[in-house]
Amino acid sequence: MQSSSSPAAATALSEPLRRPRVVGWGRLPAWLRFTLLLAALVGLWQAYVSLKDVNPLLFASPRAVAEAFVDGWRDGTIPRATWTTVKVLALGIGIGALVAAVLTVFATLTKIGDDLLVLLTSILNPLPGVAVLPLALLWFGLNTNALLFVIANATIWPIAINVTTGFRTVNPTIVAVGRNIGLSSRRLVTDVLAPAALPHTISGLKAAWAFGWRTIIAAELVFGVSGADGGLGFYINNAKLYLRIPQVFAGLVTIAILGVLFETVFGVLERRTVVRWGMKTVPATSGGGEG
Amino acid sequence: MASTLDNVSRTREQPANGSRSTGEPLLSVEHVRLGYWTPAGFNLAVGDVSFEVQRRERIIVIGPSGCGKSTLLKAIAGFISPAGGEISVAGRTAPPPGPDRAVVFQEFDQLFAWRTVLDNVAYPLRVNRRRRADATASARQFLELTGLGHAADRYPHQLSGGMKQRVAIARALALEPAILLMDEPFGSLDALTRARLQGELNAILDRTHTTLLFVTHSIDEALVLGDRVVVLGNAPSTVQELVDVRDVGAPDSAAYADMRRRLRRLLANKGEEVDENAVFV
Amino acid sequence: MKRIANGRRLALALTTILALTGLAATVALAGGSPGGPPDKLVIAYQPGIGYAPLIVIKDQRWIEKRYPGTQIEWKVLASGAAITDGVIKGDIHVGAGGVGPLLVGWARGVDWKYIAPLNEGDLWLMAKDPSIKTIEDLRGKRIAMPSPTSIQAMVLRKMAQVKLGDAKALDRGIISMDHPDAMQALLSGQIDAHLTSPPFQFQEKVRGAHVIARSYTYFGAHSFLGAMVTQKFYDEHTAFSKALYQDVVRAIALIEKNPDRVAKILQADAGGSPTNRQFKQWITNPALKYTTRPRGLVRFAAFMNRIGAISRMPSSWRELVFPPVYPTKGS
Ligand SMILES: Nc1ncnc2c1ncn2[C@@H]1O[C@H](COP(=O)(O)OP(=O)(O)OP(=O)(O)O)[C@@H](O)[C@H]1O
Ligand SMILES: [Mg+2]
Repeated sequence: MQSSSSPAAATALSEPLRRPRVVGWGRLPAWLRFTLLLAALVGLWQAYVSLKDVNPLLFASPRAVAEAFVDGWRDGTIPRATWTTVKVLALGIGIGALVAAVLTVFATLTKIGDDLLVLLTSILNPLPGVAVLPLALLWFGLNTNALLFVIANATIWPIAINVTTGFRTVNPTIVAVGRNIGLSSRRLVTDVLAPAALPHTISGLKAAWAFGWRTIIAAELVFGVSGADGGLGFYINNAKLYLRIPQVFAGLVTIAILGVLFETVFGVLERRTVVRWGMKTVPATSGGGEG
Repeated sequence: MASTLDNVSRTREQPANGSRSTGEPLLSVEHVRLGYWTPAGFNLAVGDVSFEVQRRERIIVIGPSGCGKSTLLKAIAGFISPAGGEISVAGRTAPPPGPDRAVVFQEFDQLFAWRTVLDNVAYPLRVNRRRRADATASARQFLELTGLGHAADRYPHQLSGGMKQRVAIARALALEPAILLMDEPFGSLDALTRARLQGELNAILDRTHTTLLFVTHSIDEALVLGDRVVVLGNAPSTVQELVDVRDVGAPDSAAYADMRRRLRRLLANKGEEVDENAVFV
Repeated sequence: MKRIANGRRLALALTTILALTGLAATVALAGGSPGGPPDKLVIAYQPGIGYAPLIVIKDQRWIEKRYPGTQIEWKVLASGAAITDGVIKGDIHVGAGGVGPLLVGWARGVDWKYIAPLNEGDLWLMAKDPSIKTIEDLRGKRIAMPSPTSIQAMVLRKMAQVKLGDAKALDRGIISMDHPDAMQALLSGQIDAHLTSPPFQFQEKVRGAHVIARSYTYFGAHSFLGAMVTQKFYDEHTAFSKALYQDVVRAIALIEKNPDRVAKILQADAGGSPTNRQFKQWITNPALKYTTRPRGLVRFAAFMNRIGAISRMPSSWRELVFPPVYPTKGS
């Protein structure tokens, strides 16, 4: 609770207090700290359910959730739903990235392309992904294409704007070096501009993944394509319709785990590249353009 | 200090002597005007500069800060086209940038952050059709030469500013260019390293017969390295004087001291802050 | 510095999770319902003429007249799931819905039963594309219905089991939509088929769709909708519940005796359109028969149990209705 004070105060208060302690919370390895904390929370949750006698149609115990989770993975329903969601998401982000690449090239080469990108981004990027779902349903019908459209729309803009900013802010000296050592235009792009813009590209992809992930789950909740082809959002909705509350929680747990997993993948990717190379990561820009 | 001084004294032979006025110049700069477009209009940096550089010659460009030395160097390297006049290299007019004019830029951030020190030097060689093993070996050799053999596997962000600059020098040297363009490359080095590298540079140029165009603020550096010194005035700059410094002798000679005073006066008139921290004060 | 940053983040995460737990606790606790005579009553049903007996009771204010001290609220909700949720949370006291949600809820431990079945209904599977003629033609097609747990979904699975040998053969194509939206989607070609109910099936037929299959063919005549209350509500308000059953009986008698009058009531309730002649046609169509006699409940339960939609079986139809319904000799 003390940590809610200002950073300076926190430093002043806690540093001298904590230092002398030989065995302290802060001395434990990070994984252990988080595991202990997680265990404590699950314990709290279980205690609440056991002591309060909650309505099982409204709230599930960790035990029931764990069982539903294991069953779901064993009988293949959760992996299938997960696979469907991840597949559609990957395809959607793929399409988004492709369109973003075209826009980026256009924006990098021409001023009008640049203006167009800035304009489109400032109009379309703030739209929550699911907001275009009704329109997508109208255009593409009730099928996966509508979902793909929504996800592509949610991912194009963060990728395009970040990559464009990345290209535009590449240090001119390094480009000059590239030309000086005799690189062709093509290799200048692949060997100099691309790696130099990588921090922005990763930011863009991270933002795209975060937008896309929230969008697809929301879209599936609103309109899970259906039946055996439904993704995680559909799985949760369906479980709720059948009043299988532990399954609802199991679906949420799966989403949380996947989220952590993706973050980890990005973390590793960053550590292997931009962090290792000492290129600072730039926070994702959400619009506007100029970097 | 004295011993360092001996090490870097002008012990080199002077092959440029013979070829000085014969044949077509490797580099010719004729009435070149250079500037930049700014919101306020065209801002002229180099007003009218002409000089020629013969093969194997070592030209030092010296002048007050902001007079357009870097601009001139970038124009020779092919990055800026002149607003007037003509630059030709080996008979070619206004050649595009290329490894025949390897550049060591003034800026620190001229290394590929995503490549190791070794690869920063080896990669340009591979680009220029050197075999991988050959490129790596050559890169190692030039890194040893610039005293960075121990840092070959580091990434640029793990180096000090001076170390980065030395990698850039190794990279340019390894390319074995026809003319080496260097923009204050030793500016950020400590006196000892600077002196050592000046000596190494002289030795390498002797060995490879490379032509040099070198920008500096330091009169002593100009005298240690140069055959001739191009003194530029304030922007928009013109050539104030083209001084032959081939025969000034060792830094403790009277001729050297005379020349030093003369250049100093030339620059002082132009308001230049002479680099008092130079090695040979 | 780093350690402190981590510490703050942890504290923040902890606070957030505690807050969420607290929120969940509040939500969970809100489920309790008051004892004593009902001083406040919420009755919820869905759009459709299947709910005509309730609309008559509402229009005639029978409950209000009998219990002047009770504050009564009538709600029309778009989905059965919303009604189920409301009953579980205790926000809705009398919820009307199909056999599907009744059985799903009952099997999962929602302590509810029909206090008054409302009707038997033949549910038609409609298609517009003339090339779709049989169940077999529906493989890979998109079929709309209220939800995967609706009675329509159970009917579709029975059809798939009988005609295609696999109850889940058409699950892939199930699209959850309420009937009015689904009708629009069917007529505009956005979906291929619609397993629906009166009056939507009548309207769709008039507007160019055709019937592929009927639920009676697969289950025999069966109950469609009913009004549900929880055991707790019934125990606390037994007299009220019995009276509600009698109201439904009375409303059904009125529909039979005086369909013209009921048609007018329905027309007024629907805001004036369509015509009362249309309403009369609909409520007198043999596809919909108003009755408080439950029919086919056990057959539905057995089928749903077999395909895994519910995990327990009622020992008899009586287990799914309250005592006032017992004399009807249901099934
Ligand atoms: N990219 C640019 N755009 C506009 N003006 C520029 C640009 N680069 C340099 N200039 C201007 O051109 C003039 C010459 O700059 P230049 O960098 O060539 O000077 P310099 O002689 O190398 O100076 P120093 O010794 O400090 O490195 C300066 O007035 C500078 O402000
Ligand atoms: Mg400069």
